[in-house]
Amino acid sequence: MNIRQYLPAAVFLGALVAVQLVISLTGAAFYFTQITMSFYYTIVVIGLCLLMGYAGQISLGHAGFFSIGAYMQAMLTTHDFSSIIHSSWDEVFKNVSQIFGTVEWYELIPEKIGAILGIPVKLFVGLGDIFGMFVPGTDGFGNGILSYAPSAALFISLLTAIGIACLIGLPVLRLKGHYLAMATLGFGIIISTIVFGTKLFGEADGISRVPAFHLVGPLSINGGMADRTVNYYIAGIILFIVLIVSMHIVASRVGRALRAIHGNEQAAGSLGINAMRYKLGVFVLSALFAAIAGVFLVHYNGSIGTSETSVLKSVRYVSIVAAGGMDSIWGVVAMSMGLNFVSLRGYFGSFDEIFFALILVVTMLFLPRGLFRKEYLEVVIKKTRRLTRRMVLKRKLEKKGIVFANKKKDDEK
Amino acid sequence: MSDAVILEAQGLNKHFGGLHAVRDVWFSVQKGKIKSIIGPNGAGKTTLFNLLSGAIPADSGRVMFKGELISSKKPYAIAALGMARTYQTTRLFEHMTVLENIMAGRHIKTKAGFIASALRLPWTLREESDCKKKSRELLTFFSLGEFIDETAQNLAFGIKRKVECARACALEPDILLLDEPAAGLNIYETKELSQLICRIRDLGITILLVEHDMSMVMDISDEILVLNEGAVLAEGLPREIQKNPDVIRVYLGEDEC
Repeated sequence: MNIRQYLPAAVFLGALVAVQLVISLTGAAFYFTQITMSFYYTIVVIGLCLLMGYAGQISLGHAGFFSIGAYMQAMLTTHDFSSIIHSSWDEVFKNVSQIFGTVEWYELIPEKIGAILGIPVKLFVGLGDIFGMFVPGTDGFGNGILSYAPSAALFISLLTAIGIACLIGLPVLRLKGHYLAMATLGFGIIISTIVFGTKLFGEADGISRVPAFHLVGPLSINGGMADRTVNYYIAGIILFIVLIVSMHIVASRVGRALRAIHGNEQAAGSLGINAMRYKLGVFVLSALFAAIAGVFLVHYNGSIGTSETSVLKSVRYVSIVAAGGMDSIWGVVAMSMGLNFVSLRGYFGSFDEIFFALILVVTMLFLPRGLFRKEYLEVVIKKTRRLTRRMVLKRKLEKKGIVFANKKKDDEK
Repeated sequence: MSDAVILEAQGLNKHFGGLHAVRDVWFSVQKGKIKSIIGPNGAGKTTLFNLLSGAIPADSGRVMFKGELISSKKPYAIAALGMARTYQTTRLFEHMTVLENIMAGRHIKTKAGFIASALRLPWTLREESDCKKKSRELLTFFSLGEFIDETAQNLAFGIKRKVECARACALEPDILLLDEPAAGLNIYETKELSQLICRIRDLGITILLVEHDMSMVMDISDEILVLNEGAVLAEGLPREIQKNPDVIRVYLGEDEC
């Protein structure tokens, strides 16, 4: 296969190591924190790049999917589930209904199921910890709790995000243009409101004390000073994998179908491309990427706040994709790393959101195809190539004793 | 079996508000033939095309394709059964190269999905290079080889038409619906197109053609269907249609001739 395709990926890995070495050698290790966080945010942006740049479907609700991943992960790894583990199904329903503040309906369900199956309700034994999904920990008051292990929580969080993306995507992706933007915007607001109003998700306080995520051996995702370099690499590698996957998809039959749908949905249909299926597929994939970023970032930061769910975050992701060039993955990555880093360092001060809005406006006005594009690069390459060729030629001729008075004659030769 | 019916419209009707765009149209297309649909502007030719390809649903009536009822199917499903079409105004994927356009046309002949593509499984690479090879061959057949890496939006109008035609053929369809392929082409291009359509027919692809260029229609058609105000006015061989008084009246006006 085409090795040159992997050149940007190799450059990315090279840059990853180079940046680490420079930072470590200059003793500016505090930069690692912002770069690592930028890596995770970039994963969200790449998903959105596939959705917007390639399939041509806008989403103003991706902060919602990020929040689903992050909040589910935070809740599952910090909430005390011991009562559920040791309880029967009957009590599970009681717990669930307490969480959502409703009453009584839970009592009916186990009994009815039991009646249908012809067995007494008490036969529904406790859930237990069959797969070793739970680990002990302590809450903020030092009380012992039993929560999901991060790896188990990861699966639940991602599956939740995928499920919600399917549910939302099916009706919403029938819409086009402004209507799709508004519908996804509404979804983002709903998620934000749910988070604000649910005790389980910490309401306006968010969730803190999220434990470290132990991967293999000594590797663990956490925000500790000692693990800063390691976490830089973990985030970098996760982003790298996401990039490779995205790159493969873009250069495949699926990528072609997505771009065809972007180009002309009816014509794509006339070629046998099931537009709805591909739109849903890429929507779910981009939601999955957002959720992955949320899941890992919440372990890295150790906490999550409601600002992550805000609609302004979604707008930020969209403006980064637009500024990076919509359908150029590497341009979007470069733009995302740069802007997120600068924003996280606080260079924009209180004008953070204004700055991103400004970027969106300016890009749409003056660079509708984004800042980083191959075409621009090709122009530069062509110009420099011509310039060097001309200089070489001139020198050769000068050696032979021929001197040209002006540029015009040079061109004619 | 050369006179086997491949496509059949049975009493198709379509209203747009108060306009009865297609009125009780019955006709059939025989396998391996070139059939043309002609008629004055607004006769309902394109609407009929859209009904056949499933782009818009019919109010009543049925469409049978290869003995299967397709009038309730989605356009992509109908395409997958082997019906390809082009549009009156070319609808290429403007930001994709000519080769990519053709390869997108081979969508139903390939099958790599999201997961297989993401993991770049070995068989997807084989499929991809096979698809590329077949697409190149097709472009050579349409003598479009020199435009292979050109972005579609940079192409001249006549070339775009040809690329769209090639893209439809990439499906390896049983029937090809061409909606005014000669519109906007000069005489030389039209002549070339006529030859091309005959060559496509020789590949075994049945062709249903909507066209205004009468000389082209009379030259290449095996059979002609004349529509007027949404209804079938006449149907028959080209020389019969040329002499049909109703057709002459519709085209030249009410006066005796």
